[in-house]
Amino acid sequence: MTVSTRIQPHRVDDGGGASTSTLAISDLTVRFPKRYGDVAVLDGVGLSIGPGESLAIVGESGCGKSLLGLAAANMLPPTAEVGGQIHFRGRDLYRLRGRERRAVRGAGIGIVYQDALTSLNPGMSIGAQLRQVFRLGSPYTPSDLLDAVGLPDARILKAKPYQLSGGQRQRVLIALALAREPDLLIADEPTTALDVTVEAKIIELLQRLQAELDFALLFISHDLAIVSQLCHQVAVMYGGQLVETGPTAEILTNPRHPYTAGLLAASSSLDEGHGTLATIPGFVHPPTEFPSGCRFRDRCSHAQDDCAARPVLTDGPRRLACHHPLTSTDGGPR
Amino acid sequence: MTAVDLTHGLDEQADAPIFEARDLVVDYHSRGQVNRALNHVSLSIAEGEAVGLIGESGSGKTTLARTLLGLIRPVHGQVTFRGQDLYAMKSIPRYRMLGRDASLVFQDPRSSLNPRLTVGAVVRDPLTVQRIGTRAERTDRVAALLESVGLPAQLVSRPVRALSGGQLQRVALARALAVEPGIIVADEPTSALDVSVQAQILNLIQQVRASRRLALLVVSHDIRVIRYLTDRTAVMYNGEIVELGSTARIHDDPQHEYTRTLLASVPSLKR
Repeated sequence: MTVSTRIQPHRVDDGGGASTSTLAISDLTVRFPKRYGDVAVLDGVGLSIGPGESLAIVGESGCGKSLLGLAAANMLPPTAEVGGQIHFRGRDLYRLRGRERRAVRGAGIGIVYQDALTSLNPGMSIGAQLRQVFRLGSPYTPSDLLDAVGLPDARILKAKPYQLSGGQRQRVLIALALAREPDLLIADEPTTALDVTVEAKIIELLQRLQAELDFALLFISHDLAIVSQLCHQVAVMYGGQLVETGPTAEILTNPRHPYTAGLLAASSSLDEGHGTLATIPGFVHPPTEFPSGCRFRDRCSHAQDDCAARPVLTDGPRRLACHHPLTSTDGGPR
Repeated sequence: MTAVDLTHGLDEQADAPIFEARDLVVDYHSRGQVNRALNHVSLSIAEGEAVGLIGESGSGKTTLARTLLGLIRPVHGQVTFRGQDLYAMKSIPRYRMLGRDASLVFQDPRSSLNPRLTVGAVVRDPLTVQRIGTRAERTDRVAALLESVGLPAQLVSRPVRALSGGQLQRVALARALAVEPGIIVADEPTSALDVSVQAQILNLIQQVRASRRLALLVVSHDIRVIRYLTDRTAVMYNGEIVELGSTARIHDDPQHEYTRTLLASVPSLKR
């Protein structure tokens, strides 16, 4: 029995926010004054996702993707200094306190992390961990939900995490995240630790569940190939700033920001697999060493003097922050 | 039985195997149960040859690599390294011989390199252990190694923990090259890295191989990595090699059902 035949998907829109977005982030800025001083490790990030939509956050390690995921779940550490707004179902997530905040986080937002083994309690059976969550209220039963994520075997409930394979553990995490019927699922590199064969199945599972349950999906990944199979929209981040956003198909066929083009070239030259692979020279600097202006400029083949001033992120369905974007004929930075 | 000459790296020995594994069987015991991790596996790696091992978790590819490196004693079969039967040797001389001539690069440099050491100390370590060169010579060698993997010289005194993942994997490669080994075994060398950095490291491995006579055993679940780096591929499934052949042939014309599944699962850009 699939999940959707049992449960009517509900559309909550309490509070009557400005839009129908499940999640709307505007001008989000995060600083860690003790660690990085005045540098904004997330700098003016704005994006929104509606029900049934999927948005991918793409960028290399150290670009602030995971931090953005944590911020969206209102789970930043207390040392973080947060500016801007995050509206979840029309309510400002950072104005909520205590019980209300926990209720929104627990039932409204589900999270799947990269490493299932460290996200699960190693000493507790899967069944017990599921029941912990179900006790707080769930429209499903544990075995129905395990069915829905493709783990029909009753032995899974009795198993401890170490007895399961990586793919099985990831499915358990997805079941846990969906147990309370969240409106938003945040998946932070959920397949990076998995084999390609298993990865493909997990992506399929996420696709199917999203079609059935209509949650909004915030998918964090460094792999454009996977993103291209799962997400409608892409937001490319570099150094804590959005550099380019738009519909996935457009970003992939016609990248305008040299960083996006670089990521794409690396991915597709590995697909083709001969000659010297295309790379992006250099690496992501730690926040204290971010260049001023465009943070990508020291790795960018298009950079010129005016890149020392920060490029403004344009508005519209296709946003871009670059002084010297590629034209559609360029094809790539190399 | 092939007679294998013990002389190292001479050109006329072009096809002499560095490693030769014959009919290996490895069992893991857990809770009274026996799991066969390797089921009668044979594989040889020639001087200067790049061989790929592909398969999913639990297929036995890492077990095979570790057995080749003298770390797991097989219950049946034989591993020879440059003609010497590894498991007939005592462990100390075995490790000393392999440590001098076969290096390892692991998946995650953050967990395989000591975060408190400096980059220089990490690269220098195998030279000290193997008593190669004088103090001054080692210092020069470390500088040359860092340069050969594209790292700036001033990193030598930086602690490992201050480096990015891609930089660390370069350090791991420099360390592996320090003893000038005949073979490097790389277990998922780029799986923990971003796609863009992955390309940098793959380029570097190719470049390093082009400049010296170095055999390579690459263990990976990603056919793209295997295809880029290797000449010959062994596909492993359930503790057995189910397909063995030239990498190009396996990629373009897979014979075994499992190989086809593996190839079909690779994510590619859907535009």
